[in-house]
Amino acid sequence: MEGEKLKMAKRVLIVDDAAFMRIKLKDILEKNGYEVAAEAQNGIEAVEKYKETQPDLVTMDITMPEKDGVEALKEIKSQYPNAVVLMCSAMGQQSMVMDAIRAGAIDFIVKPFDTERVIKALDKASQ
Amino acid sequence: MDDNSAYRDLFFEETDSNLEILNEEVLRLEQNPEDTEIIDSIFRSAHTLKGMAATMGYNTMAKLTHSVENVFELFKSKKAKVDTETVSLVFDCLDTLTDIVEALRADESDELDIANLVSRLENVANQKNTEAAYVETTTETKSKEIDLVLSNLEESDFTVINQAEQTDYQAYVITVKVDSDSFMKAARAFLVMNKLEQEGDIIYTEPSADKIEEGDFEDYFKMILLSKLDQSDIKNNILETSEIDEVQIAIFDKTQSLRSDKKVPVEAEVSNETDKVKDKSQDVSKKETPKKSISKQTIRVDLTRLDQFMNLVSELVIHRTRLEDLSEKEKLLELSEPLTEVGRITTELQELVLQLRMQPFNVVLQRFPRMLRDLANELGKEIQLVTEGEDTELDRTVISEIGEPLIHLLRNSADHGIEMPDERERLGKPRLGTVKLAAYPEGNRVVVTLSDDGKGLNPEYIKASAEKKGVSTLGLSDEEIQQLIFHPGFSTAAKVTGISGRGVGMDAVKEKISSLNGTIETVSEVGKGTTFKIILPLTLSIIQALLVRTGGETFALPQAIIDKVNRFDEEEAIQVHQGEVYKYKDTTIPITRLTNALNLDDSNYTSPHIIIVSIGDEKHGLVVDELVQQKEIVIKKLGKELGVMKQFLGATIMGDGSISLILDLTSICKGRKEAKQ
Repeated sequence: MEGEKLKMAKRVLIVDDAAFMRIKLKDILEKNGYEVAAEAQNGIEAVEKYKETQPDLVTMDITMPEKDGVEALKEIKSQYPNAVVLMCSAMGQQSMVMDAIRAGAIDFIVKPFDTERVIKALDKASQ
Repeated sequence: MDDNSAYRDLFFEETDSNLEILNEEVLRLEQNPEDTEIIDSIFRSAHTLKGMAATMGYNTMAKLTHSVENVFELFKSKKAKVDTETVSLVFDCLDTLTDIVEALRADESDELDIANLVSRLENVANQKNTEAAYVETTTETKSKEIDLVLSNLEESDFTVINQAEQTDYQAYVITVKVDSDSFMKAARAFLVMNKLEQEGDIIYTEPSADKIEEGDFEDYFKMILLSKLDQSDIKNNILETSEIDEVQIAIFDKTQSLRSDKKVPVEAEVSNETDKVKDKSQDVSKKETPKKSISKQTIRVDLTRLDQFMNLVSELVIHRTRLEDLSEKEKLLELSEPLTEVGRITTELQELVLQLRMQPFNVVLQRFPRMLRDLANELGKEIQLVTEGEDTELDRTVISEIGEPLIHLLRNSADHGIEMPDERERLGKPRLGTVKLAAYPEGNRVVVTLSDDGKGLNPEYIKASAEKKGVSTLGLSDEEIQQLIFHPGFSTAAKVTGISGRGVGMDAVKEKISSLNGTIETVSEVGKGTTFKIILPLTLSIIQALLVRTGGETFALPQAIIDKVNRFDEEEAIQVHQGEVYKYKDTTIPITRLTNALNLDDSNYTSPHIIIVSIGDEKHGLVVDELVQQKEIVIKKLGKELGVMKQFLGATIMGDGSISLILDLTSICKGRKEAKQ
């Protein structure tokens, strides 16, 4: 896969308040040719890290302390309208997901993560 | 079929309930062919069935369900009419499906011959020009054919489309299929539509936007999009979203999509159609939170576990009783308070576990409307089934056993009871015969009645038939002759039909009901109809009982049938030629002396009491030596060896560990009566 595409690996900002979720996502991403640009554990950090690293993609958890994913998404989108943000939702958060879509999220994945789905969604989002 | 076995139980449970739903709903559909809600529900169940069968690798079942589903699809799109013939065919298929499921349950192969059914189903489908050929692949559920047929278009939609086309917009019909195991289908659909709305306007969706938003759709949804983009761009746009299985898109074909058989309201106003387009599109994105339907949450529990629970609670009750006895005997005051608490909690536990075992009578009733419909069709009669007391609750053991005898009675009523429509008319009855099935609680028993307004049981026919079969009718009253139908090997049907009248049956019915500790009797009037009255105990394994002592032994009597307890003096027993009677509430009732009935030593009466019990409509007096106490007891069934002793319902373990027998008063009092006759 890497051999065929000489393009630079896409850089991803992982936002999730749960450390093990970040570890899992990081693992999935790195094994599939993505580069983790940075990690953030709440919405405020997410906005900061976005400014700092200007990633190609963001995986954004919805429920987080300080500032939730939808708020962070809105803030990022207001400053960087082309930001590509993928929401990570737990089951039962359908209305939040819809809010996020309205606010410009490009796609969403539902936890618990399934590697194949995550990669498919990321591949599609980064096209 | 590697680890599918783990899902087998679940598969059967779900399949059973889906088949049940289908049977009921198809029946309802026949009466309300236009009700799209019923069709939707049928469709969902059929679809689930097919999916499950395919997942489990049961190909015959998957194939048949698939063919049935195709017919439902035609109902749904109104391409096929819901007529008796098609409905009967569908019922045949449901029966075969049930057979297949039974075969599978018994671990047999599901290779039943379904070619005939499938071809009949396909005929229905082909007549209506649909090509939904079954593709036999391993992934048949995944590749459910999606199409671009829209079914709820209105005149106004066409007006909008016409307007749009004049302004460089193209109208597309799009069907999007979401991954069947995708979560949040609604949000997924919303994401797709949200993207499309940026490049055009969605003027129509199927199902309606609110349904999509609630996730109330099968794996796919359809829409009409007005857009300036070309087909492939739109398709790619949709496919950019993850977990989208398939997208079909075509330029909207105005000639084909309007259903010819639906009356379309003529829209007068055409001028502000563009506003309407906007309105609709806003509609799609405006609604914030999906409405959640509030429903009772339930889980399915393995019956054996429930029984185990019941048993454990029973044990607990026994030991609580033992503790109580101990505490009383040893005068352990400190123990008494916590024991009261334990007592309260075990009582609540008992009630709870008993409730858990209760099922509404409805569970039994469910299959009857369908059955009666088939019977009526087969016999060429017109019969309606009226049910009452569907909510009456019965213990699940009773529920599961009572169905069979009821089916037999129902068949009898339909076959022998209800007359042919013409004959009914001649007799001045309505052509439509009525069979009524009702259940209601009566004390701690449940009464089930089944009555018809048919020709009734004619004692003369029964008498003639009985004599022909060598059953003596000498000196019997008409009522008694009518009861002969329960006699083994008796059938009044002049001709044996496929439905009933094989000569076995009514006695089997009676036996079955007796085995449930119930009774059945019949009241019938020639020309007016027949009523069967079944009285069932709630057969619960924990009962309130009165403990009595006679002849040095302690016995338990179910509290429920006790009417009254009086002191008894020997002078109160009145000798009549049939035996002894006792004056009670202005009448005399027969007396049974327990010592005699059980052949016990009756020499030392210390404080004789008479217990008045109700058995059916009759009262009996039971003379016992001494009352002990009132107590909650747990019925333990007697083993096979002792089961022949009809005088006892079972036994119970007392607080001190000793065993007492529980008296079956029906058998004791009636037995006495019969013995004297």
